[in-house]
Amino acid sequence: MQWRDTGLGFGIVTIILHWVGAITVIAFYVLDAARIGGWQDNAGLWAPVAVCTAVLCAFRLFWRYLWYLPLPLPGVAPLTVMVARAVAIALLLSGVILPLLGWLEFHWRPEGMAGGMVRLLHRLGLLAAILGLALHVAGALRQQFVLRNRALSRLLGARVDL
Amino acid sequence: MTESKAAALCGIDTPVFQAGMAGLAGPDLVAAVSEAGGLGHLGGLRQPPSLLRQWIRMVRERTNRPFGVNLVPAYGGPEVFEAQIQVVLEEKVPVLSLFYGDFTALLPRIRAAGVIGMVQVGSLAEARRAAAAGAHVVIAQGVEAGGHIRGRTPLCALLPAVSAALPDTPVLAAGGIVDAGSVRAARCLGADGVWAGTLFLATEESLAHEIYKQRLLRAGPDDTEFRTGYSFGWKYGTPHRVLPGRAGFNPLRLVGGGARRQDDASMAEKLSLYAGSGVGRIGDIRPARDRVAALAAGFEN
Ligand SMILES: Cc1cc2nc3c(=O)[nH]c(=O)nc-3n(C[C@H](O)[C@H](O)[C@H](O)COP(=O)(O)O)c2cc1C
Repeated sequence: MQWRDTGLGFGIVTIILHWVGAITVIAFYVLDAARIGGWQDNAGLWAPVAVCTAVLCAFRLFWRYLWYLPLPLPGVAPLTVMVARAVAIALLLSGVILPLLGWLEFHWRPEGMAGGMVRLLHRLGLLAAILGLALHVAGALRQQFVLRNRALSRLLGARVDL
Repeated sequence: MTESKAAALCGIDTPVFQAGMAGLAGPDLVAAVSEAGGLGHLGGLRQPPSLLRQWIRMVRERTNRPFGVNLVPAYGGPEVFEAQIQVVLEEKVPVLSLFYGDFTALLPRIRAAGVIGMVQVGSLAEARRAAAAGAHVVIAQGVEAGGHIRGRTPLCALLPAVSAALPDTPVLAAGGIVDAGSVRAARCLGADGVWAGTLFLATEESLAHEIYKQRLLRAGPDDTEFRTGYSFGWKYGTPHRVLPGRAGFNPLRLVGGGARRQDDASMAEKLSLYAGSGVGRIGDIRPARDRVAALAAGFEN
């Protein structure tokens, strides 16, 4: 299997990073929400997961920029493709920005107006990211069960002839 | 009928070439144009290789006459482009037209495989490069053209310069060719044949959405816009000509694109749709053979 992405399919690096990233990002959302809500003191776990999330997402953005994206599968409307790509990029960006906002809020602890802004942005950002993730998952399920194409298989490493 | 080197080379009756238009020039249009004595080109850009192969076979089921495939490397990367080229060579498509790229390495390969290679260019320098690399035919695209535009020079300046510089290579005129009058004008400027896109969108056979076709018919001569912003699937800033989408709150107005039959009606209304500056002279939707005949009339002596 190829290591880099081409217009004909995903490479092994992207496939591994996608699934490892998915687990890390979801773990981060849960820990972040818990820490914001003050439900538990998870600072010891939050910090390493936040660092992993930020590094993974930053690398995936860089990797995505380096290579061509695989062609959309036949039958997917152009507008859907545009929205899906925008959501995917927004999710990766949020994986870099939210840990930074979290670090600012929990460790730098700014006061006054700046502190208020950071806390607001952090909460809104996390909410938007969770909604974006839900949209991303709904899109994947739609491809699998409504359009019945092989988008998911392609991200699991199956060779899909275009 | 005047002599045309390009028509003789391609084995067609009249030097009327229908531009390959991504997703919009499918097997029905291509077969109809070729059946009428011109040369149809499948719009191969963004077609996955397997679908391109299917389209080529569908053309062959509809006609025995020569036809072409149009490819653009700007989308999907070199692997997709190479896979598409492989399909064209394996299926022994008679003509391959190319746009928006450097084809110096590819053209000798195409020639060696017995395929006629045509390159659409937007400047004299690019025309010279294409001819030197082995293009059989060069298409001079003026800034009047619909869809993506390679250069910034009007056809009436580019065409005579390219024809004079390449006396041994047939040169086709592209951009605003919509009737016999524009064909005659292009011939006066040195064209050996014509390459038309927008006119063939307004046909029964094109895959353009019905609303797209109606917007073409409603458009006047001043309605197209030259843009360098966002167009679907292309690098931001690539020049293109469109009919702007509906005014008011409509973010899709900022996006250039083509709306196909299977696309959403609201998208066909809102998007800024590719069209050339000759669109104001297109008044009806006709079968493609009528379009070929109308342009062929411009080659009568
Ligand atoms: C809707 C549309 C799609 C186009 N797509 C392509 C394409 O995929 N490949 C290409 O080489 N040229 C494409 N073009 C440009 C044509 O090759 C040609 O330059 C242009 O249509 C000529 O101008 P006219 O539209 O005024 O006839 C497209 C043009 C239009 C209008």
